[in-house]
Amino acid sequence: MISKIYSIATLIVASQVAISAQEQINLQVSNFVRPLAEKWAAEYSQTGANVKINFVSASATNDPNTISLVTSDNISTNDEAVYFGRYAVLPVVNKDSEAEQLLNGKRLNAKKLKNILFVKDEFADDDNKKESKAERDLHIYSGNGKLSVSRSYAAHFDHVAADYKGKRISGDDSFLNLALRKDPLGITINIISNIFDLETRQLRSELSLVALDLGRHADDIFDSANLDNIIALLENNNFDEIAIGNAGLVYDHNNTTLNNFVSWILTNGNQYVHEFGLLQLPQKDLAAQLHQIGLRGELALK
Amino acid sequence: MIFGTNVAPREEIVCMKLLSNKVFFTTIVALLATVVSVAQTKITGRVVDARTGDPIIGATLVPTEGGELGTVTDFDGNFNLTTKVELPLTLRASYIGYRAQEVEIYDASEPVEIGLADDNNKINEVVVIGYGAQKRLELTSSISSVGSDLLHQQNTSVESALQGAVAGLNITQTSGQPGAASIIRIRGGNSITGGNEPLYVIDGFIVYNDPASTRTGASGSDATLDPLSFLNPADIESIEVLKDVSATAIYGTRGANGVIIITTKKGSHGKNNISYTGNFGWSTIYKKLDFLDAWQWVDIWNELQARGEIKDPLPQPTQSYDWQDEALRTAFSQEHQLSIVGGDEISRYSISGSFKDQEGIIINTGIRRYASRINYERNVFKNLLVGANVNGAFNRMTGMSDQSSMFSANNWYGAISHIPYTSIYNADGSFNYDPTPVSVDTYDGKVGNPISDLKNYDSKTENARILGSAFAELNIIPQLKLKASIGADISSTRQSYYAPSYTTDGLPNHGKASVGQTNTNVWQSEYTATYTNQFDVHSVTALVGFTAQSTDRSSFATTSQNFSNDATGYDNLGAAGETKPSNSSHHKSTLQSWIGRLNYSFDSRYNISLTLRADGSSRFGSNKRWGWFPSVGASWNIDREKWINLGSNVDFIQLRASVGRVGNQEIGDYQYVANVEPRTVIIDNKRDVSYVVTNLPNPDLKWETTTSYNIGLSTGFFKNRLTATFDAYYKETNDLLLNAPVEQVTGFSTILRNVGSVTNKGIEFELGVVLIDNKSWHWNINGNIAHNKNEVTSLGGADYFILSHGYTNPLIVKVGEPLGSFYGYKFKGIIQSDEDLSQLPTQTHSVVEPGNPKFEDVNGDNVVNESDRVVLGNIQPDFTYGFNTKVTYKNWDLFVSASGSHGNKLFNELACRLDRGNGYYYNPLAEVADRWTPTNPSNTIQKASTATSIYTDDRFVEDASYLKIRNIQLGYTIHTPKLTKDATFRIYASLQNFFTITNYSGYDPEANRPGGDETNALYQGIDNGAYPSSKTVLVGLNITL
Repeated sequence: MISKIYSIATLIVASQVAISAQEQINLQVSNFVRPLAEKWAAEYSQTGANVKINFVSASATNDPNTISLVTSDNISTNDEAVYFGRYAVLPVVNKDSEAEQLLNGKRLNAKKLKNILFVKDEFADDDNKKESKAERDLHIYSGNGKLSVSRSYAAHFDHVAADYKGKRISGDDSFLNLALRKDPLGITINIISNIFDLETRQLRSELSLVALDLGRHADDIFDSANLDNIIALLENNNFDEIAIGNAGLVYDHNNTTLNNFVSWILTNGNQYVHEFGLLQLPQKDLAAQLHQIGLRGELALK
Repeated sequence: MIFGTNVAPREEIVCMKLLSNKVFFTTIVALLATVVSVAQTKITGRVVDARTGDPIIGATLVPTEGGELGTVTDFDGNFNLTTKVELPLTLRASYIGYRAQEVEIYDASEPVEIGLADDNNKINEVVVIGYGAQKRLELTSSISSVGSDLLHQQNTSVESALQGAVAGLNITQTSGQPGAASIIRIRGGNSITGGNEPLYVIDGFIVYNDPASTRTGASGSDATLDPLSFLNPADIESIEVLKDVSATAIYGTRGANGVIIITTKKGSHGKNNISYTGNFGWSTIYKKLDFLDAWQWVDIWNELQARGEIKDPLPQPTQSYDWQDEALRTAFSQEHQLSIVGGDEISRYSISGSFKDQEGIIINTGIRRYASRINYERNVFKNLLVGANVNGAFNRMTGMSDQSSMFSANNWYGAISHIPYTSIYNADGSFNYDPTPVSVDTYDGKVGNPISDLKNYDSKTENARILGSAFAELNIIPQLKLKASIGADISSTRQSYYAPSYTTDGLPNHGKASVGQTNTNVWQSEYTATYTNQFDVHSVTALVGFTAQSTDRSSFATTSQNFSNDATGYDNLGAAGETKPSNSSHHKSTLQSWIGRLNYSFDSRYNISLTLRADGSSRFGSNKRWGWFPSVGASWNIDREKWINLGSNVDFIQLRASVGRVGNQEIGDYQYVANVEPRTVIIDNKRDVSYVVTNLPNPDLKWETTTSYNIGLSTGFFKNRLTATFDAYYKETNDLLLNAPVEQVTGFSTILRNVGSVTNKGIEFELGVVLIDNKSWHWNINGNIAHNKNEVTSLGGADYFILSHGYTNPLIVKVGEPLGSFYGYKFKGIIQSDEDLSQLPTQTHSVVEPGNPKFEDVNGDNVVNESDRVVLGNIQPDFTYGFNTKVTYKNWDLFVSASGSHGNKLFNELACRLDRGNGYYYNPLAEVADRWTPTNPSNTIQKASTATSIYTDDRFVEDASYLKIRNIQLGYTIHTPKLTKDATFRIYASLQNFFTITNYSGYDPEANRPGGDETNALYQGIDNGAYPSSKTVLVGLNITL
């Protein structure tokens, strides 16, 4: 009897040891990165790492094992992010909408875009006194969330999100597409993973890209509306009309488990960024991130 | 490895569906269907300022459909809204001063954070006015607010925060002595013999900035302690300057000189912060004057000796001694403040304490201040608010002494003019008190040493002051507010002075001490009722009230000398062998007032304000005990007229006009009664006391009356990013107090009557521009310029009177001329050797001979005498101006402020005495080396001479126009929200008063020390060796948690 009790107790203790040995990672990411993050979780599980990965909501309280997504435009000055990729933000309207007709035949440059999307800067924009029809009639929809890429697009034009004309859409940026559906004069800006169908690599059927004045070669690529071609173009070129932001992860750099996972993302996980509509970091930037995290990893181990 | 998920089911649904484009919209529809099925939706969130992230309290959130009332944000900016409107819904967030924003909500599971952007709309600001507040949109008066950028800089005093801040507000820092009082004028001076200082209202308590409260009558102190020094500038939340009569009439007999309303910081509901501010500074003299060195000085001596004017020649020196350098130092200052502010939903508090220790650039001078402040408010009931506010401070000013050798107005003057031939120290490092062949004022074989004087004179002014008030505000009905407040201003000043027996003032007196004490207690009570209501497009605010204030001031001062030793100084006057006649006094005055004001606005287009105050003052004669002071102001917001199309770039055009009458009761106490004063008489060789009547009574004596007219235009353009304000005014002050001649049979030659008149008319312009305002950059510029023309229009029966001042008498008060006019001879050059002296008019004050100055014979009677003196200019500037700009780039900020004055003159009395080679017993300015000699025919510097007479002429009435860069401050701010929500660290470096552009040849074009009472309205514009100004490098740190 006593030996049985010992055996049961040993099993309980052993199981507790096994459970306590398993590390936990909480991923706090916005929806546009969520599919990619799930892919990482699944792939990381194949590496043999004894880690349980949870996905937690944005409002979840900070846990020391949390890795949070940040964009280069919402990062706190106190945080140091490790960037793993980039995202592109484009203006978009609904297909066959009044907004599309209003912009038909026009290729918008940065200045025109700025005039359409943002509250007029009375001093900086004084040379453009007469409001165009597009500026007057289009209804602007922008994201209201902290992780909305609308912030990145505003920052690209040296504005803050509060400077957008029109309505804000609360919650995930995917709701911006819904807002367009209800308003034929609506125009919004969104990340390309929300604009393109990630399976077909083509534009979502209900959306139409706003024609931009990017130069002939780039215009052709955008007109073809192929996600991979556009990603390739944007990885190698900068345009005033398109905002490119960095997507990164903030976490406790002294936590070895988190550090290992992020190291894996930079070395292996980033191969999936194209698949999920994101852009690769330039090689030298990626190397810098790796270098940074490598040093930290060593320090943490000490 | 285990791959798990903890997300909420609904969020999980949304997220997973994003993986598949095909099912994406199906999911959204399903989600919406789920939400729609809920009868009521609860939406939570927060409204913040989009730029600062600070919560916006009281923001309104209303669903745009459904006709629901919505909700407002709480003290943290949070809101909870339960609505029957189905998702998706649009929520409209709005708050005054911010652009309203619509937010469409599809998913209510997560809190909604809404950032509202400032609409730069200054017209929506609420401005503090007398006994209340008013929307700037509905103002009828000329009120300027001191910019928050200026207030948030490191200011050394309240006055330094005001310099150049507001058009028409002229601050003159008369002395570089830390803690010294300034001269403040709003739209020029109205009074000749009365007070010209504006009235201050500090947290509702009325304070007349009376320098008498920090003076005691004790001798030995050169500068008066600034009565406002008890206020720590960092505690100030806002300053409003009330300039025209529509704004100041509510202050009746104290409104004539303008009103400055100071509101100190209060806590915030629902937010608690602790902050530390510290700074360290190093100051040096801004500009030194050049004096002759020992060899040049001996040249003068020997030149005079060669001409037979001095008996013995001096050998050439082996060394020159720089007394100016020795009197100066690099002064260190430090200031530390700790404040705790915060509150909950029903109360708020602000507590602060500070310590300041500022050395002066002249040795043994400086100020030390300990200040604290407590502010507390609490809503005892929903309709009853009570609060208390207490400011307390102790200041100790260690200053120069006004006791020095011979003509010197103070011991700094004594040091800089000391001859360079005499050594400062002995070989062993001790001070040199031994006389030389050139020494004067020798006592017991010793002479004073000005550097020793600076170091060893003990001259202190200590002031402890508490200004406290408490109030209760009861809303009987929402529209009617009753308010009662009581307060006290308790001030105690002690002045102490001791000149040891080896110092200049101590030598002839074997040690000299003087002590004095002034206690000033002011009590105030106020009871007001304010009714505010809106009837359709009619907005009405009516105020009635009663206030009373009583002032009780007592003082004494005594001076003793002939001390047996220097051990105890002023701490034991009993050790003195001789005590001079002591003075003591006691003054009481009371003021009781009824106030009333009616503001009416029609559709915020047409606004009118009627004000009436009745003041009964104990200072007025029995026949004139009560004065009535009415005003009417009106404004028209032209931009709100539908029939005028001003274009989209014009946001605000307001035309204002006001007229009214205010008074000045700062005429002193007991002026209307016959004053009986004691006099010492000697009868049969015995000292005795007699009493004499010193003046005739005048039961009709009353306040000085200013009738004022103002028209103004306030504008806003480009969404109010460009604002401009223009005002023009005319003020006529009558019933000025002057001594008017009476029949000799009365036994007196004059009687004090209300007979004089002064006018001030001017224009003011203020401009504010927000040039850049985006995510990274913000750049604003504020500027102002003002012109005021002051003129004395009546002196009763007299045409002019000349003010007595030393030997120079440089000031005249004359009908047709402004106050502060200079009076003297017109210099025509130096008489040259080849001139025909017989062709020159004789001069009563200067011999006509080669090398001496010649003056214009104005009346052509061939004699230059006192009748040839003319007005040589005045202290009134053609215009004054101020400018400040702030640029912020991300975490960096740069602030620059400047102010200036153009066209004002200053009598450089220092140069008048030291710019001539007649002083073998003092050291002249360096330019005297280039004086006239037969071989050096200078036409500006007269020859060396032992003649000692000095007089005012236009060489020394100098243009004192200036532009001063007051402050250049660069800061860097780090926000660390991980530490606490509001945690910020800011470091900054500042250059203060580093650049001055001026042609004035003295130390400082603002210097204004006649050697007596610097605040006396009559004796303005004389630079008689004022404490020189300094430039300061400051570094500081602010920490907020």
